[in-house]
Amino acid sequence: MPYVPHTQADIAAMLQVIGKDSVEDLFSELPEGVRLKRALDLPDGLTEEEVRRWFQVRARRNAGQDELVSFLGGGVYDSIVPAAIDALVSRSEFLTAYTPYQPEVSQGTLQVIYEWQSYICRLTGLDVANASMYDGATALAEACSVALAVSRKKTVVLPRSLNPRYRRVVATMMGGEGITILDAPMSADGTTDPAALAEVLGAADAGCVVVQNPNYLGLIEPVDEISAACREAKVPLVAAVNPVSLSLLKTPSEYGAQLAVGEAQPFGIKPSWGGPLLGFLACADKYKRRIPGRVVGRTKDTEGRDGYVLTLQTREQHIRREKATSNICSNQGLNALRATIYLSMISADGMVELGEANLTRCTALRNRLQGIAGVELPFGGAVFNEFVVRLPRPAAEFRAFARQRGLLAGIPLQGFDHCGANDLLVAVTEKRTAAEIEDFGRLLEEFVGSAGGNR
Amino acid sequence: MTGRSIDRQQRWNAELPSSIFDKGSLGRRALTFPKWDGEKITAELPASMRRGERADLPALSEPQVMRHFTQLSTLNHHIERGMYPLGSCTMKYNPRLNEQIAAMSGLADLHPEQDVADIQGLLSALKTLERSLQELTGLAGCSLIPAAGANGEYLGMLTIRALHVARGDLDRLEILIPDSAHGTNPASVVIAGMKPRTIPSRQDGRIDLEALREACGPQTAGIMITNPNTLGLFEIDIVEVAEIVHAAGGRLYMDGANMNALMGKARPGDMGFDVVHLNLHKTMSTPHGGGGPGAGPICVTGELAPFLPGPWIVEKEDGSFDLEKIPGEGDESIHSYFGNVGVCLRALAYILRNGGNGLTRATECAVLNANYLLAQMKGFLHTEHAEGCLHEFVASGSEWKEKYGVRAMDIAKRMLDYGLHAPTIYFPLIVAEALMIEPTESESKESLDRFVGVMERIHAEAQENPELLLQAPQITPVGRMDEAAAAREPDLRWAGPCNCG
Amino acid sequence: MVPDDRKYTQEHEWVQVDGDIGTFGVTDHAAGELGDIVFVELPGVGDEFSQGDTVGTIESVKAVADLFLPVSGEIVEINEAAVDSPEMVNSGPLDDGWLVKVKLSDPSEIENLLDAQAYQDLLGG
Repeated sequence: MPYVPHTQADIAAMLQVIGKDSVEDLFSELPEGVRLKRALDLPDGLTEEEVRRWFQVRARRNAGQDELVSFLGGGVYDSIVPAAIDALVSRSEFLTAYTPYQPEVSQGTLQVIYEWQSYICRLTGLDVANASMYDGATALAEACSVALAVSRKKTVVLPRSLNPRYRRVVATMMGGEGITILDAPMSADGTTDPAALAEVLGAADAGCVVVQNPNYLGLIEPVDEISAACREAKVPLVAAVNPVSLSLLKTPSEYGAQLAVGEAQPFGIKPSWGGPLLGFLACADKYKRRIPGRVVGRTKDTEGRDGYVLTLQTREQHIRREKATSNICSNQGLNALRATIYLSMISADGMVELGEANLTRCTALRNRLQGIAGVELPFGGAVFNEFVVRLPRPAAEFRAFARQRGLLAGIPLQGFDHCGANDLLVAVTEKRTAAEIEDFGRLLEEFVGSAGGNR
Repeated sequence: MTGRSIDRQQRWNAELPSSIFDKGSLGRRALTFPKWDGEKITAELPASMRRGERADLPALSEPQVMRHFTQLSTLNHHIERGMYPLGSCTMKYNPRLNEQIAAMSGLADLHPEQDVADIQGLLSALKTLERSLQELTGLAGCSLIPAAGANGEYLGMLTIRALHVARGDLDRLEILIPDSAHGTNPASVVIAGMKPRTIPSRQDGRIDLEALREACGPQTAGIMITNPNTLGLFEIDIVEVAEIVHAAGGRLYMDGANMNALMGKARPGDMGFDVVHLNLHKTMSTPHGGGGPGAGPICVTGELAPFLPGPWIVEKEDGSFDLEKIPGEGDESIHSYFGNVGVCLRALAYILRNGGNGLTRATECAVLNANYLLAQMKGFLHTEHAEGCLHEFVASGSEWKEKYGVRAMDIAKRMLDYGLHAPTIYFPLIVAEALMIEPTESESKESLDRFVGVMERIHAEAQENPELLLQAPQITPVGRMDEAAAAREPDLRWAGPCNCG
Repeated sequence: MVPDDRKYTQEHEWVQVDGDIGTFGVTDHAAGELGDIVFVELPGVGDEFSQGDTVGTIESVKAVADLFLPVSGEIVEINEAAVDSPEMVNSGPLDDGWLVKVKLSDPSEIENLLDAQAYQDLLGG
């Protein structure tokens, strides 16, 4: 029992102080009828080495992005994780600390969260950010709840160009509260149609509109026109953004979004099959007393020293109970720390460089694929680091073909509006090299030219 | 104590670092990206799509970043520094092995959109965790997806609602919650589209069977119970509670926050519960990380299992694994992917390392530790536990407040001066000046003896010099914070420019 | 402690009537129980409410209380100073820390509220 310090002598001495004869006697308040009268049917404990081996055997049966060349995205990206992050995050002071309820002995965690909030505000241009949410999808659902609580309406407008995983989570979380979800249609160019959105808003009493930028297909949305339609209808706009794209793209604040959410996984977090991730939520000042989750503020101690505390706590479930807008109690603390370190390392110049690196590589692959006979780029609009390619055969087939050559080609888009079985969503991050991009092109040429390739 | 004359920063041996935004200097850089090594690409975004100004971020070298965050870290209390007796939080030791496992190549680097053929080992591990939790709880189904306890409560409520809806029982919307419950419980019920109804609990926080019988009816969707309850007491009438609720057509949800009291001793499924969530960051030793990420898987009865949202991990006859019930448009989903998988892997490492016997032993020693503290502290701090306790106990500082003019808050703050973390205070709400103490099995007898010694000393201080408590903490990097000012004029971000250094 | 120039409610609120205008606030007891008040959320001028409606909230660091308007009517003025400096509600809940003024639509509702003696009794003498 490596993690339990008790010797037999300790146990005997402690029982004596307690006044019981055996450890079993300590459980006497458990009614006879519910006691487990056998040992748990689980294997006996292993040594550390055995546990390590148990997992190594299984890890070897997996093949992840360390081993394969990944063009997978759709919300989670193959991005660079600096060594400094792993080193700092493994410090027990961060790793093993509880929620900072005693600020006097939690200034480290509190200041990190304050700095994280500051970074999210700088990236989004908005006034306030919280300490983080489970992931981008739940952050979006929570942001919609906030917008509805403030506008006192019961209808959300979601774009058809939204990540379908986000759509499902929003629909689920709104479902309980009897919220109506309306669609903002997508044009054939793969982006939201502002005129159609205006029509939807004209006919409905909407409490918020969502835009995802870049959208699920990687395309940059006509955010100014969308925002204008919202302003016209006096409906707040919630932006779901890839924070890496905020290196270059217009900020939610610049196009008039009142709330912004997203997934900060690319800032130093390994994907771990999709979790733990790092949702963020930012808002204009007027929403600050409505947002869910923890918020850290800077203040002074009794002797005038600067310091940090959890604040605006009356928003939270432990005080508002059934009147709370959210039940969230935790944040993704360690992952927020990872992103905060990442953003402390990158600098303003580096941030632009990161954005350009994504844009350049994405453009390079797009250009490369454009020249292949039978391959189309169905949507011509501007993209950041992700785009759709239309193949002459099912995208799933190419995905399997590429996988055999050690390449994760992308996400098939069957079922998505204006997309079919032959459409593949391809992401290109700062990690991809020119050679890997060329490999993708050659593989696709080979696939198209191979036996089944003739239409 | 002469401690007050000594500079607090010296005592804690830490300096308050300035803000990261005050440390930059243009031209520095800690993170660089591979140069583009292909043909020159012209990749221009239209000006209308570009942000006006670059994001203003500090420019620092890597050593500066390391020093900033290392300095910040030293301001934290943490498990490896000292005891963390936070009631209901189960702050046990977080084995380093867990971290190594979760960071393994082949696990940490898996993208959630990969084919099942590439994640067979992962699915095998997750299935093992599901089965382990099922055995531990005595229930037939499991979903690892909830990202936290509150998220598990939410999913549990959705699942119970789905069962009632499938049976055409559309009006069963009421979930009974004892008034001693944590605030998350009613909040979770509301966001799941159901209605919380508070039922009074007895003096000891246990369910009042009469009140329960009265509250049950055709509108009852279920009941949500923390067991052991928020006072650390087992619901001794649980079998009867289950009979009453089931007879009314409702289902039983157990908030498993206190599962560390029960491993290998009693199982929620055997008590009549239909759903239970486990906090892996409590019972299964995964780190709290200053607030997360955690994980809150739920286990359910066979009756409810079909209503769990996908994806489901299934083992096929040939021993391979597959995902079924992958959600499509219109299906319910509470997370983008499969929840906090990395946290689940840590928990599994803990379970495998301990084995069934080790988990049982952990519970036994956790309960032993709590009783050992209780036996020695009830002499000078009032508790409601005449008969002993399970893994934690609740004391009340009311007597100290009356006699010495110090509140639970003051006792807690003074504990910080002795290198201990404070217990949970002012919870549960039904005990005045509550101090909720949970030592966990990680503490040795020596460490508990020291704890009792400190509490005796604080008791003596309260009688002789209560100012020591009222002015505490003294040795921490900062003193008590002005929380009212923080909430009145919230300063929630660094507003000034960077790189002025 | 409990002036007899106004009426009170079980929720520790007061109303003082002058003509057809009622001034509404919380009592010393309520302010004391909440502790340091950090935020006051009030309705808009012109909003109309019925007796018992929630018209806003009042928050301290770790508690929040709904404000139930004890009389029906239209909001004619709100105390902007109290919104800007919520601590005023702690320092003078019965005067400078008033919250809203209501144009009473049914002055007879006042009769059902507690008088100073009844409220004093509620507080336990």
